[in-house]
Amino acid sequence: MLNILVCVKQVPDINLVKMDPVTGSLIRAGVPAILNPLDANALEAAVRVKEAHGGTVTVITMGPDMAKEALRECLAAGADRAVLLSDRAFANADTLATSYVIASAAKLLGAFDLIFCGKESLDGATGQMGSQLAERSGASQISSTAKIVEVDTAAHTITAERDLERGTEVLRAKYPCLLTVEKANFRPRIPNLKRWKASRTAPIAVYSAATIPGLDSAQIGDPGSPTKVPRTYPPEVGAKGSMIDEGSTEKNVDRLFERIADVL
Amino acid sequence: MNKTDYKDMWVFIERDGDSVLPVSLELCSETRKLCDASGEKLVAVIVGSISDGELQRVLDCGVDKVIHVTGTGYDYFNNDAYTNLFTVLCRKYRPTAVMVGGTINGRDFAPRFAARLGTGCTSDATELVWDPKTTDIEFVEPAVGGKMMAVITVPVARPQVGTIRPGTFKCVPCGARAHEVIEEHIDFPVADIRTEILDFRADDVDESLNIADADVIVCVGNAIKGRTPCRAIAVWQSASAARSPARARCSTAACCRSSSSSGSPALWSSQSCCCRSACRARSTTSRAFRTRTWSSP
Repeated sequence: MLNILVCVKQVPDINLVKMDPVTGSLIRAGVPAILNPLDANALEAAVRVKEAHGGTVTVITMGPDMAKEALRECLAAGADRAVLLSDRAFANADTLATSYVIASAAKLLGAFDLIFCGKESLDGATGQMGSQLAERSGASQISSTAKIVEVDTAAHTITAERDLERGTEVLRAKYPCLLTVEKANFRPRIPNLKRWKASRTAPIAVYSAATIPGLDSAQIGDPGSPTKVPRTYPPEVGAKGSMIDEGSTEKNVDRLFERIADVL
Repeated sequence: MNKTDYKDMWVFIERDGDSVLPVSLELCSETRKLCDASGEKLVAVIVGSISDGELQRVLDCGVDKVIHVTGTGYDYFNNDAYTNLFTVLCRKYRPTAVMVGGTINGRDFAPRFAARLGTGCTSDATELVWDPKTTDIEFVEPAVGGKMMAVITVPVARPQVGTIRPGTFKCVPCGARAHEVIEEHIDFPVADIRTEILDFRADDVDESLNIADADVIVCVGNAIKGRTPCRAIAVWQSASAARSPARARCSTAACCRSSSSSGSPALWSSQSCCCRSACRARSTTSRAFRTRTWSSP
């Protein structure tokens, strides 16, 4: 029986986030929080492996209480168990501190054979969580997984295709293995009504810093984050498009290529 | 941790076979500027044997020092050996920064060795600034879908690790200088590599359609008609090829898949960018690159 972990994040729907032109900060009020879309692909990959080979899928996230909603969405889409890591002390964590908390909590939940992560989050978009969680969990790592070829539950290996810049690599990795998942081949399923209804009231375990034994307070939240964000500012707005009208096609094209040459 | 114990800025020279990836040269060029500002030395970390020609391309970016690594485990990229290598090297030489190309493999191992070292890793910076007050590098990067620019620093830990996407910076070789070469032999037991490469299938792409490394991409809508624009492009291409071979790449990078094909292979039709190389380019081109470069001049 495979023990599978899926790590997800609840993110603000950044398409709806606006910038405060005066303060340079983001206006988050009234912006809906959603399950990070690429995490839905990771969940789908995990659920497919479970359906083919048996096992349980645990979904985990770190965030405020409202992140339960993202977990319920995962339960509806095939996860068996959901865990929320929630504590003021976890706040302002960068990827390193987050990976520490998730790896520490995962140890409590059992020994996972496979860990699935999305490619990156919509908001932070560093794409680093997978690598760092693999490190913290002592797992082997397959990033940019485009396709799962085989899970050998006897030999404790997973074989997957990785999408590289110039081709496709087929990798076989030993358990425990962390995979970050590309979107294309793992389109999330639409939950059936029964599962969706059940997910509304399903129990969600909530862990705080105090309930994870041995958690080093120096490695969590802001103190545990080596990267800092001293300031943010609005991006320069690029010049608006302009029309070239020199009277004839030949002249227009000449002018266009003069302008391209200018930026080279 | 005392920051002043950490010296030199490193660039990992990633290669495809023997040839150095353009992103590694771009990073050498850009990191050279940080070194000039901070007084640090620019160090190129090269793994495995390299031809003289490729080495020269790296040295031409103003490298002060080369750390040349040999040993077992590095024949093909694998996360375990490369993570271990950089952990061992960083502990021994204590660089203040390590820059890694934001390729799929670069992004695979850089955050991991940073985690093993307990230091910070940033990704996708579009601007690097050395701050003389703090002696930290400011990694400026677009955040929240490009709606905000964020300055990221690693104020206490070292090294400052950054992955930077191909095409973010320009490679402007400033010329080779006197340099030191350090030979390192670090074996990683092949049996300890937990991922095994069973197969590699290279994409069947026509290199002339590879737009990922193009300096300029001209997109033309399907509405365009007639031969005049194509002819003009051809003229311009030959002119730019004569000026600089590097710029000539843009001529080979263009292709014509237009349904209203005029027969001149120079235009990229916006409606039909269906070939694999276009999709590849799109996936490897950073958000940053898009937001910064797609504005008109």
